[in-house]
Amino acid sequence: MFAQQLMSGIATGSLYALTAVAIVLIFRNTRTINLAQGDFSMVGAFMALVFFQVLHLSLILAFVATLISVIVLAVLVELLVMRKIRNADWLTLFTATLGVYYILHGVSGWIWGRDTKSFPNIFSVTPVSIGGMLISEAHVINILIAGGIGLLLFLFFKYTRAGIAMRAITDDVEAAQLMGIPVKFVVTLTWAVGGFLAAFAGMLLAPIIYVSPGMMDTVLIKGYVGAVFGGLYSIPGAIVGSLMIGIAENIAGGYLGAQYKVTIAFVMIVLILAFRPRGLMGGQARREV
Amino acid sequence: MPLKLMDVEANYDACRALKGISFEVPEGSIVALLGPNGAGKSTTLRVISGVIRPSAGTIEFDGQRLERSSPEAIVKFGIVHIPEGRRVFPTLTVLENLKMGAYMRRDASGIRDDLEKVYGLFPILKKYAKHHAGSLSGGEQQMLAIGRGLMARPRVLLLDEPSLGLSPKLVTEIFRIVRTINTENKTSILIVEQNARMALGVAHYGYVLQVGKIVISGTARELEEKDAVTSSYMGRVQCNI
Repeated sequence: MFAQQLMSGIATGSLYALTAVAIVLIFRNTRTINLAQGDFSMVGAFMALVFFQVLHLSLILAFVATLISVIVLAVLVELLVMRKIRNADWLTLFTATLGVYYILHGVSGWIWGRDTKSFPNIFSVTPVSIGGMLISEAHVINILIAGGIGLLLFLFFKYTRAGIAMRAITDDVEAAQLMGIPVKFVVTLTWAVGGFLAAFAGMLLAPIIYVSPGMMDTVLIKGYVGAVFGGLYSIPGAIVGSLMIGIAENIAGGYLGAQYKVTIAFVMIVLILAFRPRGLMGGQARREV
Repeated sequence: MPLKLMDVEANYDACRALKGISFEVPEGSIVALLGPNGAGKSTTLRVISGVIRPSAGTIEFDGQRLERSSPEAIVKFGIVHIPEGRRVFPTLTVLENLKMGAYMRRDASGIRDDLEKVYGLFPILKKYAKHHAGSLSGGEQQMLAIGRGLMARPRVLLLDEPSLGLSPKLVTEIFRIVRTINTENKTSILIVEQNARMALGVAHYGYVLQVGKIVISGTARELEEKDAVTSSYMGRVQCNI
């Protein structure tokens, strides 16, 4: 029982991690706490429904089309909104993303309606037995996909010129500029990676939490809490934090009742801010917000 | 082709503004820019590298006007600014830092050659290639900052206070390397220095800035003989921010 809850906790936590990592990436390169990150996923989930159920594209085509749409959305938000105010203080940037959040909520509700829509189960929910533990196939696949994305990001940041440049900008924007790194382009790329992660989060979460304009609201908060675990800076920290939230809420849900699932995330953020304000793996010197 | 500044003005802040400065860095020469704190030395370098837009005046290099160009474009022209305080990327490895210096380049074999050259100049960087730059000592970080700048294969190197905070032995070493870079690659160097004597020791020409204006200019030899340099340099900070 406990081991099973641990596994499903890791499965949901790994989906929160997609949001948490995107929040960290965008924050550390642009000082922006992106409240619209969840809504990128929400729009992605609606787009996936359109491509899959309305336009009857094949699963793989619908998936690719959704991925592209969400990346385009994230890039447009950067180019049309965030770039204009990129030198403003963090509160202005934060407030602008709040505006984007409400616009995306409103526009999605206007286009697709405010009622909750079901999303086809792409992966079977029939439990499979792994080492004597029963776990749904969807959970296994979610963990594998999230893990695969993690590996992809690791390789991107370690071995590609653009990936290393993204980390260089995190370290020192002005020095990066002096080396001829095109900072504006790399920032746009950062938002594109945010869109990439959002598209996966939206499509993998949609069968579990269903599709509506507000579907990502609590996930956004859990992803943000996960990001705070990494001090809004460390990717491994954000991943560990998200997994911990997934596990904690599943165990709390199992023993205390489902209504405590969201509360546990808030309890965790209060604890982390009180005792480790720089994150679990904090302590690293970093620039002022 | 020289790098030429004509009547450049900039309003960076009340203190470090430039009030119309003109000078040039002849091809293949080392030019020292001296003066007290707050005189506008670093601002001059930042204006050349495009981080600050000048409010008036022109900057010319290779027949091109640079004063409206982006920092990336200026690196492409072959002007590379190594900022004060080293500013290496601390969480990147030494090798990654060096690769970022060559970000604008596409000639893989040329980049490999230059990497070997930088390792030849600074063997310590090869030894620590896989270490995080943040774990290096101040002197090693300065070597990395210079090496990273060289990876862009500069025709003009702007060096801001390379000796700041280093031991006398390392200062001598850094200036020896500055001279080597200049003689071996024919790279022009514009160096801003606190250590006026050391800078004039390697430079061909020198300019003294005071409150955003050039007050003394001449060959390095002439400036060394004038007491004015040391006294203007030793002068109190003239502007508090």
